[in-house]
Amino acid sequence: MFRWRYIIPRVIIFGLIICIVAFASGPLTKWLLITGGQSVTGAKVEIGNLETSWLEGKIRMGEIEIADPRHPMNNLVQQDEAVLNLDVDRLLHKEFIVEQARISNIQFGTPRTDSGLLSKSNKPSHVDLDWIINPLKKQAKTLGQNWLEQFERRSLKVIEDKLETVRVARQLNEQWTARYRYHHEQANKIKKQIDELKSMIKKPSKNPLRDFERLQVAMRQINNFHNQLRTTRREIHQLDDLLKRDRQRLIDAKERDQQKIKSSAEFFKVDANTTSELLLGRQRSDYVNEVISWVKWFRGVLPNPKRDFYPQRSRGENIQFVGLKPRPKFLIQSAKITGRGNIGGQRHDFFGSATNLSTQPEFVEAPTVFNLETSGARRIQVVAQLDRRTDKKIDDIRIKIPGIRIPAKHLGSPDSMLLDVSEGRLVADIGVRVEDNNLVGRIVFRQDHLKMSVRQLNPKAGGFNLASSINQQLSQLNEFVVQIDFSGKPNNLNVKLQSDLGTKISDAFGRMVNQAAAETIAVQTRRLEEQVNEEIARLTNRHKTEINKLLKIVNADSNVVAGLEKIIPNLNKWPKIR
Amino acid sequence: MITGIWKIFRMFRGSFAGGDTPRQIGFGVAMGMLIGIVPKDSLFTYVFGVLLLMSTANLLSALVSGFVFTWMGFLLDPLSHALGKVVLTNANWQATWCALYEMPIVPWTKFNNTVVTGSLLIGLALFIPVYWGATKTFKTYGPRINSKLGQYSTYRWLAGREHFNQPAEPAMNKTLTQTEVV
Repeated sequence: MFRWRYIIPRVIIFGLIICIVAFASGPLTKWLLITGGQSVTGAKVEIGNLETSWLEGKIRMGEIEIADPRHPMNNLVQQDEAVLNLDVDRLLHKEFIVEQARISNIQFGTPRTDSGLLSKSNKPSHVDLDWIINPLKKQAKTLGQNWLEQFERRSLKVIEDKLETVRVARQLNEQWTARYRYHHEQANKIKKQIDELKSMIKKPSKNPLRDFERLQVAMRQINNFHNQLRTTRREIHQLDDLLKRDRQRLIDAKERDQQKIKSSAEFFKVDANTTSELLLGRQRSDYVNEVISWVKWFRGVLPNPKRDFYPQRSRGENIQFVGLKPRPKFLIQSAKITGRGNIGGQRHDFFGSATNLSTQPEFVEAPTVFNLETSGARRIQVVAQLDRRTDKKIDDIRIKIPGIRIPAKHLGSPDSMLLDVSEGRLVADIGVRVEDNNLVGRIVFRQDHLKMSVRQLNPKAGGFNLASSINQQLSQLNEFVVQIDFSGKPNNLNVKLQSDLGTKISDAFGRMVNQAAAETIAVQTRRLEEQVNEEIARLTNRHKTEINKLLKIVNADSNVVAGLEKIIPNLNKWPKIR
Repeated sequence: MITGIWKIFRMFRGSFAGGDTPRQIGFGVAMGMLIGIVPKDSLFTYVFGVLLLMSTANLLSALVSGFVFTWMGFLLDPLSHALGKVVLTNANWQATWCALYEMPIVPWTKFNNTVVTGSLLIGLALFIPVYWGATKTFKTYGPRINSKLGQYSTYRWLAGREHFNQPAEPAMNKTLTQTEVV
């Protein structure tokens, strides 16, 4: 009836296959996961051990390493253990939907001993991770110089202001010397002409008829001398008016100088931003670098499968049927994770959760969200929303440091100003949005419960004496807030720093420097007043002397001319020659 | 006990050789062709494998045929892809494909892949001609082939005919007789 010869062995074979499938489902699943993972990423996938329980839809994997297709000598991810609770219903639809996962000791970017590339034709891209951050540190070196230049510019300005009065005084001195010389020359010239006339008149003549003509010429010259001497005397008297005007000019210059000195002192203020840059420039660089490290880390953690993976080509083409909503083939809806990572050069142990992790994020409705907290002394809360649903990578990362103790440190530079800051508490809130390679972010941190004092101050900025005065004011200061805004590409970041620390320190400096400057200016103003008064007195005295000398010469000449006029006979009484 | 185990082993070995009528051999060749031509990451392959095991087909011929047609399948990929694409992108069939894809297990067949569907259709289309051709061939040339292969001890061992002095002729005669009986 039955052909047992055929049926029994086939039943046995079939049974054996069922048994093999049942008992070897682990290795089979392992093989499927490895080949599936490799075909998606284009990089090696290694799984140490694997246990399956299909009825419960549970897979437990141990010692998992997935190579990074962008960096073949690094692992994209490495984990000690992963327990996945699969949605069995979706599994029947060939969809690996992990409803809940527990991933222990996950590590990112760990080094490999062998290359993780499956095919040599895959050329690793380094688009995202070649971010350069060093320029920020370079800027810090020039901050001290910039800060000191403020003081240097101020000193130079005061010296220039002094020069205006001095310059006017020097000009007046030169002008008056020239004037006096001119009038002396004029007087001497007239005197010489008078002496010549005098000798001509007194010279005896052989022919009396000739004397008439000679004396007529002499009379005309005498009249001319009278006119010249009158003019000279008038000019000499006019010099008094000129002197008055020049004295006023000197007084005006002095008043202008004093005004300028006062106004320059009023406007002098240490620039708060430059001070903030000097004191917090290094911290700014460190914080921005750390934020970029976090961004880099998350970028490394979650590559863009479309761009960064090298899926192996399968035979044919998978058709997406019209009307069928595309769904991801692999999705971890929610995972509890613990792990560690090197971020910003520091090792962080962390724990938290991840949602919506998929190899086909474009088919997932919501972006991937990591909610992590670092363990240990430095507790950092991180919420990262990484959107890979479109070709544009969009990351929103929020990092909160709720309050950690920070050790004592120095701010600023020993070349300009070095500030001692005692240990205190740090609270920080960092937000950064990255669209492809464009960053926009803000870091706000507050340091409180601290004490500050100026340890070193460059002599150009006031030196030890000013530092002591400022320290008295800083004793009231026990907290400060810093806000760093940055935008642009990572290798060309536009970073703006604002802090009330710079304002507070600058105000303290401003008060102390202006107080010292006011005293200096008062001394300078007084000295200028004295100098101008001395200059005016000297000018006046010299004028009097010179005027007296000139008038003396002119008067003497007038007397001589008058004497000559008397000795000339009256020409009208002479007989007329026909 | 040992005799029982030996009997079961002989039966197992016999099942590998399978039925040795030309029809069983032809069916084995056709099933092997179907399994070989369809990509192995499709559930179709395993379903056909189970069907093969459940049938009285000659497994040895199926194994050889499967091996040969696996390589032929790669050569047929362009044709399979073109055919599969025409079928799968046909607007009138989209609702059917969607409904099929939404059914459990079915997506594991990868029928939405052009090569899978194309090669499946080619395989199904070739099934009857291959079965008919192979049956005819083995009817005509079977004894001669059996005689030639019978010279090899491996074949004799696999076919369970190591005790026969003249393995080819009697086996084929017996097969013909059995076929007539069936």
